[in-house]
Amino acid sequence: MSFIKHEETFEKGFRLIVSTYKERLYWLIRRIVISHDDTDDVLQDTFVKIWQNLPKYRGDAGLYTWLYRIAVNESLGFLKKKKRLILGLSDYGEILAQKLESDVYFNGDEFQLILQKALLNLPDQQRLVFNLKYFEDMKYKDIAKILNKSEGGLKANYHHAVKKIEEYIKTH
Amino acid sequence: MNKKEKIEFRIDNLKDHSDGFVVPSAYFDDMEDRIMSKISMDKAPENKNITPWNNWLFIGASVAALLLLSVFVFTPEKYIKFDGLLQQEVSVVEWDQYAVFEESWIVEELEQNLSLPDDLVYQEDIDFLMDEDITNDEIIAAINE
Repeated sequence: MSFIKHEETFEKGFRLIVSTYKERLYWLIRRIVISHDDTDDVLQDTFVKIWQNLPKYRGDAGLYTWLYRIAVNESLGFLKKKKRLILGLSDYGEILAQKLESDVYFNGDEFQLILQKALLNLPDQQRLVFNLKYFEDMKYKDIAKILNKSEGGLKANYHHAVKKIEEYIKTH
Repeated sequence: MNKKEKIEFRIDNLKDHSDGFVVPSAYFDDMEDRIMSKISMDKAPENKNITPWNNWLFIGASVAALLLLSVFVFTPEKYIKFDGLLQQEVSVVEWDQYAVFEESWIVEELEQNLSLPDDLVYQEDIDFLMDEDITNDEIIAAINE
């Protein structure tokens, strides 16, 4: 972090952040926007935003939380824009599920495909909480900081998500 | 096994935590350079090529478009045609039928969207959420989010 405090070492510090967090942020974004190409776009935009805002980063939130928050905001913003441009409706999840079946960068088995389809059936907020808890194995306390929500609300989100996924898997 | 563990147990039983996504080989290798080149491209000033010639061309095209538009607007029509109006005419009865249909559709949509999932009536789920100190407002918000 000391690198980004000085102008002459700022780029070096930023490169260090990219190399440390690129994979973690990639997987976080990928699970939200699903396709690799879209993830690549959102990840690049996320790092551009991080570059632009890094001088203003005060360190009151942990770097990891701050980066995750930017990546989540960029991903949700991307989804909103897509929904508005393509459909103006909320069944963008169905389109993503169809794309997933023919995606060359998805080699999951039948169960993993059903699980992803079940996830795409959830509202964005519940899907996001499920991803962070289940795949990223994050604590509610950390998710609450990233999403700026209460831990109780997140537990309820996760609980409803699990119930809906179980129901979906039972019927498909 | 308490209720929380039971929930976790159910989801853990789904399968392992892998998701089936893959990335192109060597995708992460040169990411730092790609990001830096995108940043420098975004920072580069836009090269706007505005010449006086372009301005005159724009003004000329605008005047021509206005003249063309005025020819259509100010040319009087000899006859007023009612055919189109007749085709569009809808009786009061038809409007009423449409309104009733739309109202019933809205009510149906609201009923579907506002109804809580059936599984929420299970006492064990309610108990689980209460045990976790989750407020009623948080539970309702989580359903709708």
